[in-house]
Amino acid sequence: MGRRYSVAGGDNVGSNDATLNMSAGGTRRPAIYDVIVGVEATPSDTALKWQAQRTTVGSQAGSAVTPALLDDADSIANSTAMTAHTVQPTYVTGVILEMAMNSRSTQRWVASPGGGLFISVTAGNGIAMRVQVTAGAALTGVANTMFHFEE
Amino acid sequence: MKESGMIITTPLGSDKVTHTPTVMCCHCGRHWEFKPGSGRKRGFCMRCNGITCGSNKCDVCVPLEQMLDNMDAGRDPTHRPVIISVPKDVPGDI
Repeated sequence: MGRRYSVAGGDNVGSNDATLNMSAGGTRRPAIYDVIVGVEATPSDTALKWQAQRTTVGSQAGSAVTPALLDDADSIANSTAMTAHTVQPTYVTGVILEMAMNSRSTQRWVASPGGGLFISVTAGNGIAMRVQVTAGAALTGVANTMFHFEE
Repeated sequence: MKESGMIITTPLGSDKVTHTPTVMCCHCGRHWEFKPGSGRKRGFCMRCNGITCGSNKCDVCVPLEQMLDNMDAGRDPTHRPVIISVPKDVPGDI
């Protein structure tokens, strides 16, 4: 089994912005196998669409997040993560995971063995979870994403 | 159909947890909810023996591993090494 890590972040619900972006570090190929999305803002009946999309090396800027070890015996992660983007990552065309939900609920996607969201090993290549309001009440606040990944 | 993942959610106004299986495109790695009869056109790759998402770019067989290798190498995402069948030993002077 590969080394396993957890990373989480959140950002204000905007116009299809990334809540969390995870990128390979150049040494080991990561794969996301667990995704949890939710909203910590004041509850409202708002329809949200979450999309995972590949990203490449770009001019993204925001707050770096250090992946936490799920097994203390492992070494630190080679991958990096960023949240609260001030500059969005560069997206690759094509959605690789999509979920729609009411903002009052929380959704989780879990991969079967071998069915993860694989990222190429090149440093900077990654996957971002984007969120947008599609219908319903206005929503002001932070939407949260958590990845569990192995590399 | 082999599941590649599961969406777990608790619908609003219900205390029942629902599990929705997802399947994965063997070419681009996209996951989607598997809904037989949805009307969405998907594909099947005879070479990979796997389902594809139905996107035009996934009609060409470039397995996921190859696509990730192409990204690493900066090649065209649709690049695939030429594979030929050699029915017997290749003469040494070729």
